Amino acid sequence: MQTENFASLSLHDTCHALGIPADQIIEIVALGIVAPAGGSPDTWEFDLHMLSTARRAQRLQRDLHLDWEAVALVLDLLHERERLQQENALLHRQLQRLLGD
Amino acid sequence: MDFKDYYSFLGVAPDADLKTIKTAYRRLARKYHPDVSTEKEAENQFKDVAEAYEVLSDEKKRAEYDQLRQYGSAGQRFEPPPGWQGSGTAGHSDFSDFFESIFGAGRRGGTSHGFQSSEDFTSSRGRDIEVEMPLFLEDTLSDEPRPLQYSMPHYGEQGRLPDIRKTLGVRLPPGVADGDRIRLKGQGGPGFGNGQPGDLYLHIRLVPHPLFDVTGHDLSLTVPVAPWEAALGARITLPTLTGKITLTIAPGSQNGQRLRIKGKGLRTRTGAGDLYAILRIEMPAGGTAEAKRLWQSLADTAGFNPRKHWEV
Repeated sequence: MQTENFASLSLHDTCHALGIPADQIIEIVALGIVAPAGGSPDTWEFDLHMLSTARRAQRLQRDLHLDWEAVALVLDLLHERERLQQENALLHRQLQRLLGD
Repeated sequence: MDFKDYYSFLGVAPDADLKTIKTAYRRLARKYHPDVSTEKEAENQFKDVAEAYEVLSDEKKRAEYDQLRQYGSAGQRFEPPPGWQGSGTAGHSDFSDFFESIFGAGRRGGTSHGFQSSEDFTSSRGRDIEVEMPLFLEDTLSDEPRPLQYSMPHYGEQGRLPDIRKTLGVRLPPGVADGDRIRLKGQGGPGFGNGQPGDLYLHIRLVPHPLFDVTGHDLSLTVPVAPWEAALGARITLPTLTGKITLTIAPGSQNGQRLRIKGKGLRTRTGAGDLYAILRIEMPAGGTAEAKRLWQSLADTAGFNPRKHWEV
């Protein structure tokens, strides 16, 4: 089975995968929700992480009736929460190992 | 199928106005949205809430639903009355059989988790599917294809069909890490008409290991050592993900000290991360009179005060 984890998608590919028009993706990029490589929309390259983040942004925008600025804030906070949860779980495990529980 | 009480899903009265319904939806959507929520069963709860809102926020659908409510109530078996003609413009893909029996099949191109543009219903691309793939650390070292089972919604001309269950053998790209996304082209939902199938996206999650903790591609292992091993040095046998190795502990090693063993971490794209052994000095439980005598002799001769920086 052919697998890819370093795919590079153009703006057109990304629109196609998300089923949303280019101007919405341009807005998502303008707010820094995802940061594609390349200097202009014609040369943008999105990876699979960005695609997944953009999908998440799209779901939040639609389901929670948010504007894109709010989506950007929510995603930042969710990302921070996930990072802290992971770090907390790791430190917790390490503490238990050090205490010999 | 069971009758669904949409008013109770949103926690509003049957005569609630649109504003109340909207507020209730927004509050519950924030609580249960699968991208935000940490609640159990959030996804199913959210689906119920979204479906209820889809119906109750639309004047026409709400009127049809209210009419049907006379025939059934929550928890009861429900069949639409003979000859029932729904408006058939649902346009949603993830709603329940109950919803579809009233409002008609949603075809595809949903507004929920399908991400489809609604450009062309006669021929359109299949849905992309996102699946979490838990992996044991050992799995990331293997080149063998890993079996993956997933199910995906399926739609025909008449609406939703039973989910398709698929099994694939997935060969993981080398160096796969926690949180990585992997795309399998064409393994998502089937296309509609002449449309291409969608893609399958795997979200890699590493399962916590009983011995090894993961940071990036590095591993750490807590190694219990006896006080005399730390004092005198020792050669000890360590487990790694790929087999046993011998580690030399220097004389005078400290509790919490980290020793790097190069290349014994997880695989990266081009090589491997490192393994860190973290020493934990462990006291023996109890002890004989002879052991006690030896400790006492050490205490008398070592001249060591670990708290001398406390001015007490």
